[in-house]
Amino acid sequence: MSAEPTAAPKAAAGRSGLRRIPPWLAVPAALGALVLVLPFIALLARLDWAGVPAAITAPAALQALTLSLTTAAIATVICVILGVPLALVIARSPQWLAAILRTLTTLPLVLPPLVGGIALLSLLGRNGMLGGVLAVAGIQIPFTTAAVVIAQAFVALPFLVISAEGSLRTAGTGHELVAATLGAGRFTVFRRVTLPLVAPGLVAGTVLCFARALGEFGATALFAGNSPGVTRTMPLAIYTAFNGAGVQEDTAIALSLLLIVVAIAVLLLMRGWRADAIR
Amino acid sequence: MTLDVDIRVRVGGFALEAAITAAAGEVLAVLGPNGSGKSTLLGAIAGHHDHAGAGSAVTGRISIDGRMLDASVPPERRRIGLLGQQTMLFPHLSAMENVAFGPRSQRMPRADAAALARRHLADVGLEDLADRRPSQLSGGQRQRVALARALAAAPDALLLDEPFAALDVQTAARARRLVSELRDRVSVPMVLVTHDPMDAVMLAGRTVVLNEGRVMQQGATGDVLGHPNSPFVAAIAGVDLVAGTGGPNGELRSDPGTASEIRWAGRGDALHVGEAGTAVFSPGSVRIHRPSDARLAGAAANSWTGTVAHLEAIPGGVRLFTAEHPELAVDCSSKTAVDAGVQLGHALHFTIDPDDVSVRRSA
Repeated sequence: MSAEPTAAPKAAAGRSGLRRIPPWLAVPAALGALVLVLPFIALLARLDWAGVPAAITAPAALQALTLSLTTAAIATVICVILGVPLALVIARSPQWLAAILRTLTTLPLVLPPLVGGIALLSLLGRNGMLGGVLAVAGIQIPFTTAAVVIAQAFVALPFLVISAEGSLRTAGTGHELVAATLGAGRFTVFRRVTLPLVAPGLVAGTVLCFARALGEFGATALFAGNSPGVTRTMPLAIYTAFNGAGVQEDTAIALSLLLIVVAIAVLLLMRGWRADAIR
Repeated sequence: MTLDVDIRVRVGGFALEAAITAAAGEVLAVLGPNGSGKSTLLGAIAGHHDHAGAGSAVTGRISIDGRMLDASVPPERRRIGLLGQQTMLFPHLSAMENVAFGPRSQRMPRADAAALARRHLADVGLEDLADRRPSQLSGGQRQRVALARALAAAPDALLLDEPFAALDVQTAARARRLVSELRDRVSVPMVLVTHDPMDAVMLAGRTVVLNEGRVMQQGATGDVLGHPNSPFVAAIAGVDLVAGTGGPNGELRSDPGTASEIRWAGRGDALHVGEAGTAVFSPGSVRIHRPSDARLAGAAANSWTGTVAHLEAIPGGVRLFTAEHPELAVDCSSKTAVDAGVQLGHALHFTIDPDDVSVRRSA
């Protein structure tokens, strides 16, 4: 091989890589981008900008936003505490066991959240598997803020586990083995080597997890209900406003805008962190 | 301190059986091709049963100065350092923090560990780069940090797994020199696993050759590489090995009584008539002559003829094999190849100085 052909692919891998794509693929690519972006443009076009400040500073809106951010944050913390160990177990399991665990973990991701809500009711509802026991102890979970957190954790956990497990698998066990030969016990290895190595993937997974919890609607609606200040998160507030006939439709759109802004802020925050990350 | 290993390891269908010893301040080279069991051996010593292979079973005995390391002793309590082909430096820690990792894990106070780490970095000539991250260091520098990190953990033995394989030629040469300095300064037994006889020659007083899970030969490096006892070890050492029986004058006769008989005179043992022995020489010591060369008339010792049947390029010249003696490699410079007419199908004469031939009786 001469130097000439080896130089060409390198250049193509840069910005001019676009030129190496078959031209007709640009059509579905552009359509794909439109599918994603056009609805938001339409939403902004319909927005009654004059009414936005009033709509998003209304006490009910702020109450819903606060509830959403609080419950999503708590659900995310729960997901990290439970999800990272689960991801580690999957990543270090023999292949057959990892395949089973991964399938089970992914299930809430592919099922409609409504099904998740019914499943949660079957478990924790008054006549549920655990709900009956809890009722005897005087604990009622459905239709409380705790139910919101549980529903959010249920649908968001797979996002965290899958991205953390991918990072753990990629990181491999080489560094951990070397750390052990240096005299580090298992927990020291986990805390000082494993976790820092997968930190970038873990942060990405946590952000996705938080965003999913923030947007959770179906399971919450069934399992937690729609009670203002207790279980009415942003998505439920938007749904309620939208269902409240024409007058309130503008409020629903304004609240949607607020949720979009929060989501974009979270994604930008993650990008900023990733840029600073030591690779 | 002495590392004593006498183990059998089963990993699936593969079985390794090896007994090796390395004394303090000594490097033992373990030579062998891929799949010979080198990594399995190191994994078993370091206690990485996963490293040795899932479901592997280790039986036998591993001890350091009588301290037994049976399978129940986890890697973190073995005090056996490991330096691999991949340095496996922790990317999120500075060079100093990497080196301090071992002492910190063994509960040394932070300030003491940092001071110790800086001393170890100074030992490998990197005190100025203590605050750099691994990604800001060159390959050779990373290897030196990894070495300092392994030693800072105060291991009772050090395992080196192909530590120079990923480095370029010049960096590898510097890294070898560093290891040889450490060998003389740090009094721990070292086991160096490698596929490159050069590592054994430069660093190891003693060498073990492994093949398919078995020790083929072990002893002083000069003996093992200078006079292999099997074609396998000869191939690893890159020398020619011929087997035969003793003739008159203590010579060795290979293929006696056949058309391809050669008489070998050399240094070493004087063989009795009929006694089994081997002759070993470097392919580069053989001289090549055109068949018309008058000096070669008659069947003198250390002289043979052959028709070139196979040619290979080697750095700076050519390696040839003849149809008559297909097991004997002969190396020559490009100029010699041209002058002597080395081409496929050409008949050539070969001679070798007896001083360049080692003759041994077979054990």
